[in-house]
Amino acid sequence: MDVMKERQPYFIYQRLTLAHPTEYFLEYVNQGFYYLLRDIYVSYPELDAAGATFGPELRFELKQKAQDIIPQDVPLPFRLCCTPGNDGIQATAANLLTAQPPKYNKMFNIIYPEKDNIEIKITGQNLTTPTVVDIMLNGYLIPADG
Amino acid sequence: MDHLIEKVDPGAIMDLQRDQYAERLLITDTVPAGQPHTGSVTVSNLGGFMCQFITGSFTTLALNVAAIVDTGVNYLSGQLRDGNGDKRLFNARIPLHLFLSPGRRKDATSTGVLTDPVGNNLFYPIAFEYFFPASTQILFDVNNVSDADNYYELMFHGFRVMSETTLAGRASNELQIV
Repeated sequence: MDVMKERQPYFIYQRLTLAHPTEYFLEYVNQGFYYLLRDIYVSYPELDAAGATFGPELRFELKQKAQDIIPQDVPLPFRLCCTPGNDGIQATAANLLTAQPPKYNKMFNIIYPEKDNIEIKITGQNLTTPTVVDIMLNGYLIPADG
Repeated sequence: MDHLIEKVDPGAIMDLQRDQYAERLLITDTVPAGQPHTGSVTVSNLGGFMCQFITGSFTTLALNVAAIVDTGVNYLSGQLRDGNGDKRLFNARIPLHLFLSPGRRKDATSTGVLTDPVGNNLFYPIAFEYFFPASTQILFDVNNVSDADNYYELMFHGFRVMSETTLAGRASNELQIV
């Protein structure tokens, strides 16, 4: 299986607490590897447990931190690129989210070079809600000399 | 649909199936309330397993005044590892609803089983291309933050790649039969 010798799938997950209108997801790529980002999966609450609507329009901006490369011209709404997104999700007191499954995701196909870091700038939090966003990156680790 | 317009060559297909064929591996496990638990499946010694997609479902049960109810909230998060070298394939435990389709399923132990919403249908298998070597254990370390037990199923869709040893053994058996 020569095709698999030079890569392995590696899912990266972080739960971000949204306390400000701008927050950052930061992940260090393991030294000696490239990371090929395939899809982004995102889940965040649009309703609270009492049924009040947050109505967030969370947007994101991908960035290769060290090289300062941003492969998009404007911050993009999560809802246009990523599932399960806000679909029918409520936050409980413990910030648990209802179990909506992924349904479709836009492929990103971006390579993060070795030693560079993945930064995702998230905007749209309105100082009150939503309070958390779950982000998972579906991608592959590729040895830098592979 | 090439097979509708091209002649099927049974000999070539049989030769290919001798070396590799579609297969699925399944992990099922019940995660006790408030505890982590590791489920596993062993790739047999016939040969390696080339995974292409994963699908999975899980229950969303919790206690409500000593009665088990289906809240629809995800309580499970898991980390996948290849037992060969204990290679981590996730950086941390990931909530199951973020990457498993169909996701939530009904469970007969819920007291509201007759009125609980139906489980989800399979919709979006997640691409997961990885070669598990022969005889390795696929480990799924799952944590349950609910106050009730929860159950999950995780299926790996791919194909078996027979090892040279297995193929050599089969060839010698065939000779003996002849």
